[in-house]
Amino acid sequence: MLKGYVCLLLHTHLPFVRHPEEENFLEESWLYEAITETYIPLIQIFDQLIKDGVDFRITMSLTPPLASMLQDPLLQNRYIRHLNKLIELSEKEIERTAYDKLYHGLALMYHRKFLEAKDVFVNQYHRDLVRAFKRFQDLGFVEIIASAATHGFLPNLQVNPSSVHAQIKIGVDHYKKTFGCQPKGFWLPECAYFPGVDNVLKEAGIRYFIVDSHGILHADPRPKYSVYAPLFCPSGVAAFGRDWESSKQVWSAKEGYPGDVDYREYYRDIGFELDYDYIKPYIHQLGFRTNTGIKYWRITGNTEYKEVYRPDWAREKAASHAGNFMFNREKQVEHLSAHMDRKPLILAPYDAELFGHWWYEGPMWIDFLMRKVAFDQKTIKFITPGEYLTLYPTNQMAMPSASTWGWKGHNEFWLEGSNDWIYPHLHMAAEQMTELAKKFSEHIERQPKKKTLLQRALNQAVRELVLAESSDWPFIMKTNTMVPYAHKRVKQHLNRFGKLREDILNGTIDPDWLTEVEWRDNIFSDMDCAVYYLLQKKIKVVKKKTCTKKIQLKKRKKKAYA
Amino acid sequence: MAKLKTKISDKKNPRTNRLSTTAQTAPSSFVLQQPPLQNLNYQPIGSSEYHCGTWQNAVSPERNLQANNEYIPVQPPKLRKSIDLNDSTLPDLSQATRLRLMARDPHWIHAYWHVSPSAIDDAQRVLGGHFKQSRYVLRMHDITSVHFNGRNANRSFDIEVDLGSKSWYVDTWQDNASYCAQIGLKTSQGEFYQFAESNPIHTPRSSFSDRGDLIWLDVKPESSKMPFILVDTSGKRRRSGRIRWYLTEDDIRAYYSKLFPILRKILAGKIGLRKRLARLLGKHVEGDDDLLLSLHNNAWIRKMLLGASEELLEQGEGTAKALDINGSVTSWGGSSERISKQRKFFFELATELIVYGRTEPDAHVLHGSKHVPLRPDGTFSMRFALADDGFIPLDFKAISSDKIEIRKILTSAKRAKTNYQTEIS
Repeated sequence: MLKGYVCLLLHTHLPFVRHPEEENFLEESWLYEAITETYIPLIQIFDQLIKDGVDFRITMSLTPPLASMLQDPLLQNRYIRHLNKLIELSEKEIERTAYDKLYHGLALMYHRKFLEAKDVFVNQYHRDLVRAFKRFQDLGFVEIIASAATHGFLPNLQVNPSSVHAQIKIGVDHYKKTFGCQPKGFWLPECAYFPGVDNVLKEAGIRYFIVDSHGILHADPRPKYSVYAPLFCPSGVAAFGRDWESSKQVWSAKEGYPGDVDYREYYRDIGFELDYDYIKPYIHQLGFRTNTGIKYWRITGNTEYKEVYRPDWAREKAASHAGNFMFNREKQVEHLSAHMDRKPLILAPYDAELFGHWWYEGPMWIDFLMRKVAFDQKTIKFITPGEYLTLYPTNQMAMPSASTWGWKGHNEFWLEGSNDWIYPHLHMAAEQMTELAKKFSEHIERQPKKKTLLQRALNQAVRELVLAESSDWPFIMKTNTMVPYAHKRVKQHLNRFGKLREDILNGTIDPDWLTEVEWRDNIFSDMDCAVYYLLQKKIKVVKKKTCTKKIQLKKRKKKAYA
Repeated sequence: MAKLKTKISDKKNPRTNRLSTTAQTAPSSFVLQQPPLQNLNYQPIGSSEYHCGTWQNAVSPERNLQANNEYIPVQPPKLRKSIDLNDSTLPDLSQATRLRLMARDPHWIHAYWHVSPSAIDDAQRVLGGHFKQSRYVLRMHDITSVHFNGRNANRSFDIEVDLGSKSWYVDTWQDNASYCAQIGLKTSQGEFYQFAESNPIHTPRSSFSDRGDLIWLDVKPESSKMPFILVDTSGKRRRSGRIRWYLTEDDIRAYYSKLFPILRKILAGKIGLRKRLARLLGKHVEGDDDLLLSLHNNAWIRKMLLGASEELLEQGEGTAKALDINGSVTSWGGSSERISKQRKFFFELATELIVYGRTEPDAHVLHGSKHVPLRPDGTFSMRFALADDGFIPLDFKAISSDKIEIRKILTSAKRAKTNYQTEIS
């Protein structure tokens, strides 16, 4: 008998790393690797599940920077170039390992996977993978939720409510444009919730969002059903809480599935392992070693010595781990349902890039899990949060607690010594943008087909601002990986914003300069971004909560005049 | 570094066939000795022109792509002048006078400020002789549940700061509280000269709420109703024994503004049935077990209910214990930290066999039964991984273009079983 539901949520995001100015740009490979190792394997699995008649449900976020990059012709072309190189390398590997029985099969496996990836990318979905995910949503198997414009870390941006508003509204409008419908859910970047942001989500037509466990557990008043049923914020938007038990089973490096000895070792790539002269055409153009995606070894154990990867063993393990995950959820649901007047919901959100990119067998695990849950038991069923709200429209009302899914559960990862220097600049730029929008509101409200130079400059100023606001930059600064790149990105976007503002105010907009910047930072290029800084009046509650002091001062002034 | 070279050539007719093999140990960081080039017009492996190694595809990657017409280099926009966009100078904020707060976690607040030189000049003018004895302070106000007017904070405290440091992390000791701050000068007489006042902020809660009221909300896409509570009517009017009492926006605002500590007082005052409703609600709210707390003593069930968070929450700082898990959750790059390795001393050895040779450019060369692609000058090379205790047969055959002459070169390569030894002094 059906006793409860499980929601598997994949948060799919990459920062906007498009660099047309260089033919080969290292950071663009983040996208190519994720496409080959995560997005295409997921698409293949979803397609196969549909063909086999498996009734599965997956919830996904597909953030605007990622969707924009996936739909960008330049990056699509470059991805094919990247994939051709991989195919060529794998062909060389087939030959090189011809007399090494341990590796030869793996070389053949990679070659086949790259060819399949090319077939999916070029022939099946005509280079546009967003179309694939949209198709799964249209068929009712996947629920895609919206996210903020550039994955801005909203608690730290709330100093300027207009920034929060713009991040959310641009994200939702971009979703509508991309997927042709109103999003039901919203992925708060880094699960970062603060009381009041739900009001902005409500204005944008959002019905639910996701928070970390303690966001629900520390809600006011206390949640009756812990994280196993959503809470309605006073605004009427639902908050679903992350279940820690299921998260830990997949995420934890020590106890989680991905650390199993039979799974593929991420940190041993032939880009670093093989003879330099041989691998040189397939690593970075400047000659430093990078990952290629071909990895021949398994985790083996807590040792430097790594044994050869055995796909058949890994497959067995993935099946076994899927069974284990399902069994644990069944037991969890059986206990919970005995204490609840409704069917409990276990929500397990993960970064999508964990599956395939970091945990190579992750997509396979999802495939097994969906099939097992559909055919091997009757206690649990996969569901999307939107469907759960339709089943249970009456829920407890409480205000979730401010929280994130980051280190220590709050904002420290994005606000500490290595990255706090960015916020004075971001806040100042947001204030300046608000002033600009106010000053030139007449020009912004007019929306002719052909934009004037001023309108183009105002729109580009917002693009530069939101690109600087991405949570990825402070994140990289904190993790101490590729830090110079993150510094450069924040500084350059702020610098471009500053010049645009100056030129707009002085009436000295340089058309060539503007064209070049538009060409480089082309995210939301078909949206009138400046409009989103005009609508701040609507953020009633946020304004009330954050600007109490100002309101009081105004009232006092009024009284004084009276 | 072990190195094995084998060179076989048909000395009778050097023009026809020539085959060489080079087996090399190849730890990735070692510099390879180049194979002999003088007689073979050999292209070093790794050069852009090197294109051996594919049975099917004998053209270079670049040419291959161009041939497929799949990649067209980017065309930048046509501009009248060249534009440099590499300027990454940050704007100067020193001319603004401002103070901003951000909550880092339940107990820490980040404050940053800028005070312009003109604001300091103004202070000097106003304070006169007291200016030099004054100290720069960050004045923190706890404004929880009050409408702050500058004087009515619950409590305030000063932190002496260096104006040049421009930011400070403030330990507040109290979670779930509202704060506002001022930056200014404190004179030796205790007077405060304010430069700027901050935005108000509210710190997150670090534990369960002490309120367990059950308020419900019914939300459907097409309609949304007001929140309600369920009141027990003892089965007199309804079969279910419970009716809905709807709350107004004011009730909810009051509930969260903390002007009234518990909801039932608001309702009791509102409908004028104070005693009866308080009794009813009291019975209801307290009688309808809050699942989370009613199972408090049952550790196992409680754990099941809370999931793994329960263990963490008991540590006091919520999820602080979950560093190794939670750090990996964040964002696309998070997992890179998940099982990052720091190698200490290590030593690895691998061997590869390079086979190279040449013949007439129009000849047909076979390795076993597989076709070997030739370069335009008739040379070819192949590379094989030579495994531990491995054996590679090298049976090559060249067929002249007129199919009249066939030449064979038969040999093999073997790697002895490796012996590993470790000495630790």
